[in-house]
Amino acid sequence: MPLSKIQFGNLGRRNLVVNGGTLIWQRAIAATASVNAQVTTCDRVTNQFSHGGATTTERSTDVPAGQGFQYSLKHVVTTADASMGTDDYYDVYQTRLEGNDVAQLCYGTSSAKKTSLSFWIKSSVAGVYNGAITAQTAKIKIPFNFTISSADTWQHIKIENLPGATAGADDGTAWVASGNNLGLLVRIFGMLGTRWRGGADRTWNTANDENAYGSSNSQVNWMGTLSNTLYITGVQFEISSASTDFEHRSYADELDGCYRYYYKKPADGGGEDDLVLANDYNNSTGNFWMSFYYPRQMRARPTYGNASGWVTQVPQTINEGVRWVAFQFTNGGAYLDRSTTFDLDAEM
Amino acid sequence: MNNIDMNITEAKYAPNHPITGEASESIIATVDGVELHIPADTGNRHYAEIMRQVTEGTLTIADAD
Repeated sequence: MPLSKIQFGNLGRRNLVVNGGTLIWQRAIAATASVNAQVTTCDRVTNQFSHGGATTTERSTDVPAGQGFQYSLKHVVTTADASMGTDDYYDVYQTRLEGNDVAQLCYGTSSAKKTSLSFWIKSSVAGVYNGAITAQTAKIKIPFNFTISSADTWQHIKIENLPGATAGADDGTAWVASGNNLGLLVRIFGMLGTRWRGGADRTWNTANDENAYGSSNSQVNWMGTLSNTLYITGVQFEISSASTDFEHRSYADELDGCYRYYYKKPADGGGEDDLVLANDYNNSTGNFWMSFYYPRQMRARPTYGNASGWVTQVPQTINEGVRWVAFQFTNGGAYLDRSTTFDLDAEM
Repeated sequence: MNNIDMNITEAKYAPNHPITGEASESIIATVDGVELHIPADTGNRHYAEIMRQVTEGTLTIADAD
C-alpha cells in the first residue's frame, strides 16, 4: 500500500519539549514559591518574572479529561499585583531548548522550518494571553497570542504554521542553534506590560525590538487578584505546519531527558545500613576520594549545591564532570547513604 | 527579560588541590542566597554569568580560603 494511503498514528519524537507533559518533578511537588530565573518544581520549566506580587507553583492532578495526562503545572497568586506596570511580566510557562535539539530547525538559513506550538491550559482569568518563541540572545523573537474563552475550563491552544526564522538579528547577531548551549525559548505570559507587547503577530522580529514578546495589547493581568490559578500541561513544539496529538513518551524517556539538565540525589530512607557509596581511594594521608556517577551524561559540567546528609564529614574538594563528580575528603570513613541529598544543575 | 538573571552576592575560588597545591578554577558563590560549587565550564550558566560580571567589573572573585 502506498505510504500516502496510510494514516500514521503517533510518530514518535516529534515534540522538541522535554517533559512537556509535566510528568517529572525532581525538585518539589508541593506549592513552592516561584524564584526568578530558576526551575523550582516541574522539571524543564523555568520561572521568570518581574512584578510586585508573588506566586507559587505545584504539581496538580487537575488535567484535561481523556488526554492521558497525570499531572499539570499549577500556578497560584499568593500576593496580587493589581496594576500591571509597563515593565512587568510573568511567565506561566517557559522552557529552554538546547541547541543540539533545535539545530534541525535550520533557523538563520533559507531552509528554516515551519513549526507549531500546542498546549492545554486552564485559567481562572479568561481573556487574551501573549507568548513568544525567542532566540538564545532574545534579540530574535516571534510573538503570538491566544484567547482563553472561558474561565476555569481546560482549553487546547494551537499556535500553528509559525514561519521559520530565515535570518539572524539585523544587528548582525546570528542564530546559534547548535551545540550544548541555549538554543531557543518557548514563553507564555500571564502578565506582560506594554513595554514588551505590540509586535507583529506571528512575524519574526529581527530588530531586537522589546515589544516583540507579545502581539496583542489586550493582555490580561492574571496576577491581578489573590488566589488566581492557572494550570498548564501537554506542551508540544514541533516541526510541522499543524499541531498533532501530544506525543506521550515513556516515563523513563522523560526522566532521562530531564537528567541531562538536573539531577537530584534524592533522600530515600536513611541509616547506616543503607550505605550507598564510601570513599575508596587514598594515595597519601589526607587524600581520600569518592566518585559518584550520574544516571545520564549531563549537558555541561553541573553546579553542585543544596547538599545535606553527608556522613562523618563533608567533601573538601569537588570536581564536577559531565559524567561523574569526584569528592575529596581529608579523612577516611566518609560515605553517603540513602539520607544524603545534593543537586547537580546543568540547566541553561 | 534577559535570559540570565541571577543575584550573585559573593564569589571565591574553591580550595587548592590537597596534594599538588594547584589552584582551583572552580568557584564557590552565593547565587540567589544559596551557596553553590561551580565548575569552570563556560557551558555552565552560573560560571558564565560570574565571568560576565567579572568582565563588566561588577563582581570580584576572592582568593581561596
